Amino acid sequence: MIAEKGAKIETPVQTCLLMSAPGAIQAPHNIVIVEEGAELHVVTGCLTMMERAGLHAGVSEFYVKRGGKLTYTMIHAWDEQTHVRPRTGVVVEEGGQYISHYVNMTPTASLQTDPKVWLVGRGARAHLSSVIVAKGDSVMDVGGTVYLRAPDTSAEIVSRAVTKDRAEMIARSLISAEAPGVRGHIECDGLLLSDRSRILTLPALDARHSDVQLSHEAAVGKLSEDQIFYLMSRGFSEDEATSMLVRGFMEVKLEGIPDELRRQIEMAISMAAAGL
Amino acid sequence: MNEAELEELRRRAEGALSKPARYGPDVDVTQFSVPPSPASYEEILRASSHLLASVGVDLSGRGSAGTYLQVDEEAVEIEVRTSGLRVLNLQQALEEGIVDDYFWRAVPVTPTSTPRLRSSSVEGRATW
Repeated sequence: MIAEKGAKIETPVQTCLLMSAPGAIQAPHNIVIVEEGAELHVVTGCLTMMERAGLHAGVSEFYVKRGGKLTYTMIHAWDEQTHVRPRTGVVVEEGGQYISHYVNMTPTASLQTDPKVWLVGRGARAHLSSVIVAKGDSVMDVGGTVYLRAPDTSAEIVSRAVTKDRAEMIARSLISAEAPGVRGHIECDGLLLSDRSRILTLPALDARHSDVQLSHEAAVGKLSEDQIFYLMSRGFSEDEATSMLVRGFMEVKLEGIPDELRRQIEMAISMAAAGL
Repeated sequence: MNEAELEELRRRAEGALSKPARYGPDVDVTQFSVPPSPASYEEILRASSHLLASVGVDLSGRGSAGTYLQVDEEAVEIEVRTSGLRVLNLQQALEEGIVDDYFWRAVPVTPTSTPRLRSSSVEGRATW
């Protein structure tokens, strides 16, 4: 997929990878090139319609040229017997922007991914956000890595993980600062809705230059009983109060994207929250 | 990409296959295979239209600049509805030499990218 030089394509391009056959491997290989000064929004829906084991193992290679902007949104709805292994690499040149949003809505046998972004041109920027719901016996290991290789580059990684039942979630993130004047921030929050689930957050900062600003914040816990009681005192049932708080927890900043895409992402997050 | 370069990718992929995954549960890729083409893609899409809607896919294409739709390993719809955008099958892009400088450049062939390498996509058969 190529956005030609200078093309501002504000309406999203929709892509879909559907698995229909049991015992199948689906192994797509996607290359997206955003040429100089172009802007492109891609939304990818990945799902399965079978209830038997399958493997989705996709490779995505994204190239954002000078002054280009790519917004990539991925919404996953897999099955309890599907194994998922996306492999993503992104190269962003001078003044380019890469913004990704990832929403996983359903139980998945196992998910392991760690998209890697290289900011190689001055002033390039990356923003990675993920909202992951892990239920049932799901095992999810979701990362995000940004290498700040050029001066004045910046990155933000934001993740929200919610676990229930016996699910296990590992949230990894790494920002590596390798040039002067770079900035990076990691925000990593987890919410456990059952005592048998697990969340492990591993935010990491790697400073390889003295003139850098790096920070991270991570918090894991359960819903506040005070907040639930407060909402119940306002007339909401316990289930309604819990649902509202979970939905609020899953809120992430959706910047610089078209309204229609924002609506799709918010709908996916709401559906994921409703299933908890 | 010439045949020698493809052969080198295949060789590295085969070498990576025997190595365990570094993170996450290890998956035995030999348990999975590329499925045969279904009798009717239309029927599959019709049966899954509500699921597709849940992940933001509108089969009518309304409100989108283009569509790429893949079922299993087959591209079943590629449409472009705006200028300045090109969407093409990866195999075609490779044949035309458009992505030679990008194919397997941002994702290395390593143990973590092993599962897919067993399938057809080393050759870039499907996808955009």
